[in-house]
Amino acid sequence: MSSKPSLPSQYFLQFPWLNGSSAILMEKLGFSDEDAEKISLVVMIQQLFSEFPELESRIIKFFNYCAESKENYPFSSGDVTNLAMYPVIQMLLSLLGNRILGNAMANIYAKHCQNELKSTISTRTRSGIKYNNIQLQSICRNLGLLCEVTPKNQIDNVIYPFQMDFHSYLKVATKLTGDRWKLINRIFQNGKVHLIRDDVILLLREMVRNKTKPDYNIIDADIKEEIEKIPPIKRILNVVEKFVEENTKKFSSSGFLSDEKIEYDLFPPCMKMILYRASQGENLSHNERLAIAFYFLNTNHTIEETVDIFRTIPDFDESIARYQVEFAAGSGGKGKKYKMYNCAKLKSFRLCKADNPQFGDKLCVQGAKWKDGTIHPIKNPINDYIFWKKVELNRIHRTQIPSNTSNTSSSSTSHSSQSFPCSQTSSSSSSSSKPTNPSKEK
Amino acid sequence: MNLTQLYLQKLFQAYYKSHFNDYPAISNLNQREFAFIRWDYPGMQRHIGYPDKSFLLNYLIKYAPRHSYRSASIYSIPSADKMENKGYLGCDFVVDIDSDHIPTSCQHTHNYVMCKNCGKLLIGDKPEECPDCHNKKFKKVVWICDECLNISKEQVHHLIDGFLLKDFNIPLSAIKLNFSGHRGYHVRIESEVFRALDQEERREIADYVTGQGFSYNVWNFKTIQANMVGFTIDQPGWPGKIAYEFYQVLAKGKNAIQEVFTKPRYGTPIRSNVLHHIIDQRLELMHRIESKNRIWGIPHVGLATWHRIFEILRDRIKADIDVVVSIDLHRLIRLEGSIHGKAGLRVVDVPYDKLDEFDPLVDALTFPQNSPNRLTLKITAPICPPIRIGNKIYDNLIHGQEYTLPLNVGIFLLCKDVAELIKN
Repeated sequence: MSSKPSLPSQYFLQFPWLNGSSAILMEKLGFSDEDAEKISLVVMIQQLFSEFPELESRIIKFFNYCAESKENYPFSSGDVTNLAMYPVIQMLLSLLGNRILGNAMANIYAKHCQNELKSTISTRTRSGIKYNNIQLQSICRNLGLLCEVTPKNQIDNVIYPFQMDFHSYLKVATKLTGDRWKLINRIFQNGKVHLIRDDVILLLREMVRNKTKPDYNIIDADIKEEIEKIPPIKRILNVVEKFVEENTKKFSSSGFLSDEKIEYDLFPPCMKMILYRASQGENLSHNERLAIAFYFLNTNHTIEETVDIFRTIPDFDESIARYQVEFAAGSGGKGKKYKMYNCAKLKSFRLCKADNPQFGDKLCVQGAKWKDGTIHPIKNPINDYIFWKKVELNRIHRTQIPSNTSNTSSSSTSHSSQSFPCSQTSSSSSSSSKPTNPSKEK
Repeated sequence: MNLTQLYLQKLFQAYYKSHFNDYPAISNLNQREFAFIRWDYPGMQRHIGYPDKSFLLNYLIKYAPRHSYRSASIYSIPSADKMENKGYLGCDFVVDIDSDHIPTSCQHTHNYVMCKNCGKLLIGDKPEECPDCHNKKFKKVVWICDECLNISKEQVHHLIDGFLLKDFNIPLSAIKLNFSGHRGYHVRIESEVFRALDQEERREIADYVTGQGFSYNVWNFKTIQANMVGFTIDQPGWPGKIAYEFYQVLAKGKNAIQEVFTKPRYGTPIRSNVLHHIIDQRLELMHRIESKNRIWGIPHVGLATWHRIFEILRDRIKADIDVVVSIDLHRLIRLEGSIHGKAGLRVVDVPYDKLDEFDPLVDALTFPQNSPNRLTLKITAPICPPIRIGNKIYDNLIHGQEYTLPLNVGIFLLCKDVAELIKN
């Protein structure tokens, strides 16, 4: 989709992730469309560094922000270097293959988009919001989100100026957790989801987060070598590698591949998914953070091990995380230890991943089969799931797992896969939950 | 293959031959994967692709498979033997509505299982093991009656009228409907927009039509100073649907209210001592809903009861679909125009405006009703529930007895595996 003519060029300088921004960059560099097609990636990168002298220092600064998980990188407004930075950063992250840095980068651009679209302007001639609803609509359209703007669209005493096509809405809203993003909880009629301005900005933020995540398989090995030889690239890579070395704990999951098999046998699919997302440096929702913390704390993990889960998350702040984990563990506040959410609650938060292609588990979908042949659904990720998973594993791997299933520590070691970075600390703990036998309870 | 199977294959072959020229069109045929379960070959033959309809028909005529399927997805290389090599291009949005998934009262009158070891008969669904001999293998007999066929039809109306046309604004011309050949219907949407949806997006649509995830918090359904704050009938989306359905039930009077809330299809009923407060306040509640007054509070009816009332109303409004089918991107569905090997009925397109008058046991029969051919067969199953084919009900078919029956009736009983062929 060529969106170049539909938006003023200033937008592309501000938001380099817009579709058509590369064409604007080519134009600024003085390349015709034909030239742009012929020019090699290596030559293009060299050209960018020679054309924009500040590019190298800005990119280093940007990576510094990524490494420190700061989301408020000061983008220079309306600056062509801003536009040139984006493809180079994308390319560098593709070379590095570091998911945590990649996600930190996506978070910076997403946050910048949100702040910018929410910002107000105050000059002698004009004051108010910087981007009006029509301009917001144009940005949406550029990203393939179709919506209409009806300024006086009032439903139930609330003005909903935006009406987004349901398929555009779903494209982004399904990436957001929380009941309020579910289609069933939206004002939805005639194929349109009625939205307020703030919702559209949040959807755009999420869209940008997903769109700016680097493609890690885009650069061939032979071109990679050539690119790494370009002097400014070499210098930037050296600096970034130093950042990574300085923060080993944080970046320890950088080698984690999306197709890698995780053998967390006793972790339910919902928790595997959250751990996976955390290990990739993705932002977790409030409910996801609580769920994983409650899970760890209720399976006899220490506060330190629980805090460690959050280290890879972009907005990690040790003191806040520790305070909250201690609170959940009952060490602070009222001294109440929080129980693990049950499956119904996790489902309502859309965190249930029972039939997820990567992490899903038939046990969660089909329930547990009791001795009397009746099927009982898994209602709790700890009490029910762990117990029945152990039963299932014992059936399959009788030779590998000690026969004394009542000794929970035997299976807790089996679930702690060394392949999952976040769990390495937890695997050292021999402690585990002590699930009750549901059949005995009955 | 036994004689019965051999004869059924011949009959299926005759059907496909006679429909060579008017066999229904399959959209994007050369991009679909086809799969078959043959009479003479164990397991499923899949990863088959055809350049055009004539190749497909030649296969159907040659093998006349027991079950024929095609993919809901389109691929650049549909015949590739691994899913990852097929080149996924998109997947139609498919909704499967089957009375198998709906708890109907008739299931307990005509479905049964028989222990393969001791022959014990058990009515209803298959248990884990035989209560007498503890054997775990059963022969299952799933029957068809007007009640199950009508429930499926009712759910199609819920889906298309209540959701697809109104909320999703999908033009009727874009909605394709066919009878599945057994006890339900398939609804398909083949537009580019739907084909591009990923699994999560499909799940969200499925959740919407099944009423999953409705949040009382988001919709502000709560008690404020002992007063229940409800919904208004003109609210878009689910709140308005719930208010409208509640009004409709109240308007039908005491007996209907009792029927709806004390015999719900799913879950626990409302206790009658609580329900009578609602019945007493029926006219007042109707007045409040009519006048868009959101205060629904009634003395003695608490929040938990209101939630249960809404769940029952939700289950009346929703489309009872098989969610797994709708979210699966690599689903195989029954091939249009093929014969369902478990019922001997055709998978036929049904224009939505003709759905009410469509009678599967008349319009989906494989051979013309006036066919003079008869089949002589012997009932092998201990119970052969009554079946209506055309306008005639065939009942009192007794185990071990021989009957000479019209062709379509014979095919049905043979496909259901409750009879064997004697001669033709």
